[in-house]
Amino acid sequence: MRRYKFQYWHLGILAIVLVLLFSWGANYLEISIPRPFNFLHTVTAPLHRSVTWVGGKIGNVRSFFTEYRVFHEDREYYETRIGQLERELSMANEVYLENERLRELLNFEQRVNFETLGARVIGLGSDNWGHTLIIDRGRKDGLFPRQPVITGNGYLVGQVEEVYSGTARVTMLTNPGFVVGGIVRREESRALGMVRGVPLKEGFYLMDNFSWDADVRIDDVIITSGMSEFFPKGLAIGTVKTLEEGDYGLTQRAGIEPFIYGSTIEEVLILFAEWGEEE
Amino acid sequence: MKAIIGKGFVLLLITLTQVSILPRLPLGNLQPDLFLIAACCWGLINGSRIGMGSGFAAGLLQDLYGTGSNIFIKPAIGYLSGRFEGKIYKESIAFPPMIVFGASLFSGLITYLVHEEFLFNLSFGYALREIIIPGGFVNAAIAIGAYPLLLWLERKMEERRGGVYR
Repeated sequence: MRRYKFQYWHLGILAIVLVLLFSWGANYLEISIPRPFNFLHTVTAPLHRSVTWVGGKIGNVRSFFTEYRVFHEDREYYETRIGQLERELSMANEVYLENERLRELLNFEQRVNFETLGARVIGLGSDNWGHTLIIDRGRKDGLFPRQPVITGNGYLVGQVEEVYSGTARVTMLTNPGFVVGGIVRREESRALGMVRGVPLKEGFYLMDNFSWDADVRIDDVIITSGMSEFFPKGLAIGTVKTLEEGDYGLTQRAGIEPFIYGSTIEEVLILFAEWGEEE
Repeated sequence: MKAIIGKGFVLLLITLTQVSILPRLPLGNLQPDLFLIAACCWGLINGSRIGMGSGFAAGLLQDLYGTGSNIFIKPAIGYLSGRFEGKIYKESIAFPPMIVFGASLFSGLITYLVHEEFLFNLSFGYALREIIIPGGFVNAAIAIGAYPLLLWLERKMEERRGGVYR
């Protein structure tokens, strides 16, 4: 019988197997045990925060010099736009109040006002496969996995995937494994489909499984359908830019331009409220 | 011990660059994989044993922010690169980028195959054309500068320890 001869790569294989067994076992038994990732996240989070802060300041100084003229033009544009939006907001408030009154009259369930928590993005995913964000809020702030994450103006960013003590990892919509139900916002259509990301094609999602005769048009806005227990209805996802046949003509597939771009997100909101189906 | 601390410090710098700096730079959609380049170069410079160990540390750190399969891909890359140690001329400019390119293809293929979300939602042609091959070229280009830098660092550390670098 041959004697076993120790080699260093055996030690490596053993270490990898132990780490995998450790993480699978913890997952399978659904037990919360202190993991090395938690410690490493806690150690590296302040460094990421500092580097992001310094990077942001350098970026601000650079853009002050390079984009001064653009800022000036933008300011004029936004002043006009603010006036216009204020008028629209005042009209929308009227409609909102009317809507509330009518809901009360018809005994409809009131829409939930979500509780939100702001978080700063301190890092982005470390590979080209699935986009992830690292945010500076974690378990101590009450976060838990699967909470929806949006931008300040209500655009869907993704979902909390893993929570550490002071930080959390968010899977973005651009990850091909991340799927959310979408619906066409246009009142005459309301066609349903599934939205999923395409890695590397930032600025592009796919929405498929539309029925072959669904009324979907270019420039239609897609919002979350609210059919999943994890996402409330009405979070804006993007705009339809391309349409093609899928599954040999049995379904339609739409290319969607999102409202958000991963590398430009600096702050996000995490939704806390419980939501359910409207009556 | 000093060599381990030195590599740990380099890995920390790589983590900060990969996660907080590179994504904010206007480099386009493709990012270089600095962890892969480091594991590969350390394997080439120091051999299989150190290549695998540093690959394990790099994979563990990368998986804090990545897909979750790097913890076994990166040690394999460190080990396989280390098999070339002593077979190629250490100051070679052409070989390290070529090996990094090969390691990137290997890493990309394994990542594609072990993650069902990529395997079932992305066509192999798309993954190869848009992610794996271009990623390999980006990593190889970075390795042209990164390999001599890491080699120089290793030699400086060796000199400080009073040894003579082979």
